[in-house]
Amino acid sequence: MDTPNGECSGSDPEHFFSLLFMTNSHKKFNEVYEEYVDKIFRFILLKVSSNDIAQDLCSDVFTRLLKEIERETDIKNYQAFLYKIANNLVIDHYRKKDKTETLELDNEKEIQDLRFDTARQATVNLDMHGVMRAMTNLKQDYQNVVIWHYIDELSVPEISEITNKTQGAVRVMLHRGLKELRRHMS
Amino acid sequence: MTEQEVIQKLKFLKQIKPNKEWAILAKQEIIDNNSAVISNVETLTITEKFVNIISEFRFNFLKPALAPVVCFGLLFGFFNIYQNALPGDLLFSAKKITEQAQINLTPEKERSKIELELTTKRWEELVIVANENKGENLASAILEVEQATKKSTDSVAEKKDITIEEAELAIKEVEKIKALENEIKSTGVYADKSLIEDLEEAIESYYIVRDNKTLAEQEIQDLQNSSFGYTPEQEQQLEEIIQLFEQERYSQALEMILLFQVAKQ
Repeated sequence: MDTPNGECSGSDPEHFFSLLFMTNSHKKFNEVYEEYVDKIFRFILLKVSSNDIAQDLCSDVFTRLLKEIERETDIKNYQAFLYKIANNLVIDHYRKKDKTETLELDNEKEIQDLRFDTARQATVNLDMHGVMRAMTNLKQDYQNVVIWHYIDELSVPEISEITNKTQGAVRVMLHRGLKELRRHMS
Repeated sequence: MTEQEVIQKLKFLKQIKPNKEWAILAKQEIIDNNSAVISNVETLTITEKFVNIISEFRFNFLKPALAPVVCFGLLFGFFNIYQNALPGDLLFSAKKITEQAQINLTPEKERSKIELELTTKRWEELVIVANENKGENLASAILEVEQATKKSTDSVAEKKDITIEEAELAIKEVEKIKALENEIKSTGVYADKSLIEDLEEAIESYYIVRDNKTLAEQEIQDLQNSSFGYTPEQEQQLEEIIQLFEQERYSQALEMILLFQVAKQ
């Protein structure tokens, strides 16, 4: 089990033995992957609304990450880096699919395929479905900031770094995004 | 709807996570595919790998003393760890590779026995996963059980000239598997009912071999107990029956016993 400062507490034997077989690059990749795969997958899924496509695009994001790590590119902020790549790949995906309008949600099976607390599944499904549907009606930029701030819990400065916009502009987008979402959900 | 309510609903979406098995496989695939095209992959020397492991320990003052311990632990511990790996764990694939090697090195006629033992192991792993509530391993464990049981069923069904020893060992493994299946049922974890039904059907001939032995043994005992007054011809036939029994040809022995008893009447 990893401690908050990244050292191993000695209670995870599999971790020790996997180190034997890992290069330095792979070790770094592994750390970043474990930290961000859930967030990146969720971000992509909320935008493309398909589990299969989200898996493919998520794999592409991390493939690019590994290539950059292998090239010893100096990545100061992995989170921002990954979200930027993910966003670009989603935009490319839209272009290829020629979908500039809001996307239709896949059927509820897509949501039920996702792993989450099964005890509350029935109630949560309905709420999740509703909010996911409403999200697809937002502009892409508003969608992004809403996901990053309210779901992934990124701060305004962090979002500003990802979007290359001022913090003021991010706050305005958050406000407008939430307002739009409220309108669609009501 | 208020803004707070919208935010609350948004937070539900935090529960969305990728399938854990997919996440593990995807990571490995990315590493495997990328390693194939990179020509100058930096590889750690054995010393560097060793130092990596030591440096992972929290308490600096213990590091020098830990070196020999880690050495020994690595060798002994690695074997133990991957032997205890469960379906879905990182080292489970290493475990399966070893098992496959074991099967490949086993003579053809003994393979069904090894495969049955491995099937029992997969069921035992599923019981552990179910009892310890390891949700992230469950799907893999069920898949492994299904694959192993189907493979064993085919293997058992194809086997010809079953010896009594083979029959008894196979029946013993299947009884273990059935007991494990009952244990799984009590945890509420799903496993395909037809898996065991198919295996039982395949092993029916093994029960016949075992039962034939038991029956032949009893009949021979009875014949020997009432052998007073047998003609020399009948004595000769009894000798032949006993020889067939000793050669483990139980069904032929039983046929001769039947003819013997009909002729005696």
